[in-house]
Amino acid sequence: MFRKLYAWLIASPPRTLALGFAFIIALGSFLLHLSAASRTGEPTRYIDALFTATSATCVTGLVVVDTGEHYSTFGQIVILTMIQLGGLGFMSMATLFAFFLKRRISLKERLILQEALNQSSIEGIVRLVRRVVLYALTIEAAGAALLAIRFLRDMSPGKAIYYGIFHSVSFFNNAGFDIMGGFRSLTGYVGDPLVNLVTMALIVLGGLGFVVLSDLTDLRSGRRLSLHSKVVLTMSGSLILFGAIVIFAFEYSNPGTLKPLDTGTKILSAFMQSVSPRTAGVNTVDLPALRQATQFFIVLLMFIGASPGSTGGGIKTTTFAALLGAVWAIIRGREDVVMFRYRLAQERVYKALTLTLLAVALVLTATMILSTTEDHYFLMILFEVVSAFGTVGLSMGLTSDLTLFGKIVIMLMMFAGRLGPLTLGYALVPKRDKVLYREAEGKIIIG
Amino acid sequence: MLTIGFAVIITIGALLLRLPISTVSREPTPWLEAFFVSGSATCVTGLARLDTVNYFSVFGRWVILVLVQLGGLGFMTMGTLFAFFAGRRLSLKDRLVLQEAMNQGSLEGIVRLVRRVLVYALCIEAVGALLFTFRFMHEMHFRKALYYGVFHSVSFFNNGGFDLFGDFRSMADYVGDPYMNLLAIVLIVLGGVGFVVLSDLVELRERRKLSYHSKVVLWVSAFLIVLGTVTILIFEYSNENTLGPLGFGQKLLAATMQSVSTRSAGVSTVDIGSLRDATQFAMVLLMFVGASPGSTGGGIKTTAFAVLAAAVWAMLRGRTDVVLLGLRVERNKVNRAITVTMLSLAIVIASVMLLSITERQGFLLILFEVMSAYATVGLSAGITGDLSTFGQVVIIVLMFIGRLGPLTMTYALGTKSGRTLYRYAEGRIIIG
Repeated sequence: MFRKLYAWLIASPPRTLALGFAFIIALGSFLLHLSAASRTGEPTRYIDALFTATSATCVTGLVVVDTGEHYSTFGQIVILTMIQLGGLGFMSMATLFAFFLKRRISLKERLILQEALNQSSIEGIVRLVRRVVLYALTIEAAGAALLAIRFLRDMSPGKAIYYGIFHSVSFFNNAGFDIMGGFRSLTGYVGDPLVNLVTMALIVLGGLGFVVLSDLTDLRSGRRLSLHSKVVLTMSGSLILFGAIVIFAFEYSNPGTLKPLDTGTKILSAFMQSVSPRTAGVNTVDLPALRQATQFFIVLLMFIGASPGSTGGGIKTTTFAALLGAVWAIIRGREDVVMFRYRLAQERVYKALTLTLLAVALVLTATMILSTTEDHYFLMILFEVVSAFGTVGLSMGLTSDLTLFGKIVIMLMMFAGRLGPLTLGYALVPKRDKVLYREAEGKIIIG
Repeated sequence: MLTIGFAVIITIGALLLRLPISTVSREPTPWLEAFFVSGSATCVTGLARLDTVNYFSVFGRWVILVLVQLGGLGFMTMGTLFAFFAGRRLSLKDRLVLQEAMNQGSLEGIVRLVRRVLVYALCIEAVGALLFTFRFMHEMHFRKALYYGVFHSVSFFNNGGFDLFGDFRSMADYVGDPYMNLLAIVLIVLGGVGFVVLSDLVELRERRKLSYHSKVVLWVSAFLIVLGTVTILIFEYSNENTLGPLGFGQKLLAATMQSVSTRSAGVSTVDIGSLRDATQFAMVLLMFVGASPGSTGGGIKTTAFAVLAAAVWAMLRGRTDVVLLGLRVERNKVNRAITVTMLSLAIVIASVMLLSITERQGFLLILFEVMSAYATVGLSAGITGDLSTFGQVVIIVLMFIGRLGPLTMTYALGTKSGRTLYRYAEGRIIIG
């Protein structure tokens, strides 16, 4: 029975994953549609329930109704379960894809991978999934405890623990759902170092991806970091730092956001706003009040997103790094794209390029469609579309005003943004040795 | 060398335009304004803060026209030269292929090539001017009509986008005039396909075969024009301020005109500021792609766009080779196309962010203006006149970079093959 399932899974993993996600979303939307899920006892409109379920399962965090005020405790727990399933399910599947289900995996690769993960074939998969779940639950528990301690000051112990768990799970899975009420996200805690630091740590750990987490844990036993982990860590580190500096500089004198805060808080919230677009979706300042330049910059951060095999979305840090590496190589007149003294296969660079261009095409098309159907200005629509595609969940307020058609487009974007890059990354492998001829070379002028 | 040449022309142009005799009011133009016009003309952009016909005297307009002609032809010649003769390491084989293609070699070849470019350009411009004059004679006396004909023919062929109709209206008065529109479209397209393609087309009768480059350019240009027309037609069909009031034929004509003009001439027959957001954004994308290499237009160029699309297609089909119209594109070329596109994107994005801080305008308007400047288009959604001093400087710099950037980048970006004697071991990272 298990072997049969395994065989079916392995026949077309992306299909399995897409079906699994669709199933969870359908089930979740049905549960959220029940009258027990809403606070007033009246059933939520089906389209809104479906939207929330999609947003939760794709760990996005865009909401059409306020999670804290509209849904009952039962509804909130349904949402939380979907986030956990969506986030962890995706994380394990993506890690599996990357390590075991490669189309044509050579014996050599298999040996290297087995060595890297200390496991093989079916029992390996089970052990890997168990390890992913263990890691995630440990981190989430630690986060929940820390957040609960802080919330104890504001609310009763029972509520504080519940709030702690909800936000810890939501943040680690980069979902960005909150139950603070009034679409406020964490704006009430803008100056609180504990909440901010715990949140950032959870988001970053969730966004690095399992491979890197596992690498980091093994670091103490004397192992060296893999190239993948080095690239991910360097890229994430520089993006966070660069993002914080840019946001700090752009918003320093903006009375609607950072200006009223003291310097320490300014730095803290600049970092928070820099971490969150990749791709958690929590905010401590009012997003529509940000300057246009900052909003656009956040759009770029959201597009890049988190790292492969993580709970976050976007085109992924490694994709971005591969593109940067390619540009740098050409500028320096080198044939090979080199990172940390390793060469990237040309095929991976093209893969990164394809993924990015398709993502750009998808985002641009959706933006154009929505700018004809929604009566809002351009940057707001672009922001919302990229937020959905990167499964971020930051919103400038468009989501709650969406037309029915707009809601459907945004839901599709979340689904495509969650599954697209992984599926593409998996499917895009050149069929080597299949083509026995090559076309003659043609000459054209570029630029 | 090219950069210095352009800088010198712009400076001389600014000096001349600053003179009191260049303006109608006989008052000297401020430095920055003069530089803006001169930069815009030399980079054949067409963004204008001052009304060309109402602000500048006849002398000033001649200066602008000469700058457009110098900028356009100079660039076309240099672009073609770069592509054919000045390639960094031209192997004997390459040289033979090129000589065969162009029927010429080395120094006298260059002189002959430049002469040929000039002859082609002047012939087309003369015909265009003549045809324009016929049309203008309906409205004005002969000498003025001739002057208008020459000015617009030169401006359009060089994808300059300057006009003498006044009040920043561009060709809005001629929105339904098939003769004017078709003429303008033909001039823009001929200027935008590049000299290599023109020369190929002329020799078509003797050789009966287009070069690979020409085929790619023609297909992509045609595809983009049709795609742009259809998009604009659909988005604007019911817009009261643009295509709404027109008959279907005129709608089609206006949509085609806007689609052609966006890459990268900068003439318009409808009010760009009244277009819907979706249309403006579609135009931003068309502007980014721009014209073809070795032409008077800007942008990342049709060939770079085609190569990128082909690379994505190859990857989706699981092929290692990038194949375009039945021939393989060298990996090196694909990498160059990627680099030009990425660097262009980076420049545009950085400028948009800078300007969104300094200018109090909507995001899309700023994006439109920046793209228009970078791709040397010259269409404006209406904020050129309101730019702050800093904004003007940014736009001037963008026009300059946009004009010289893609060419210089591709010229400078050659792989030094055979230089590195070692390769690094292959490392693995996970993409996506």
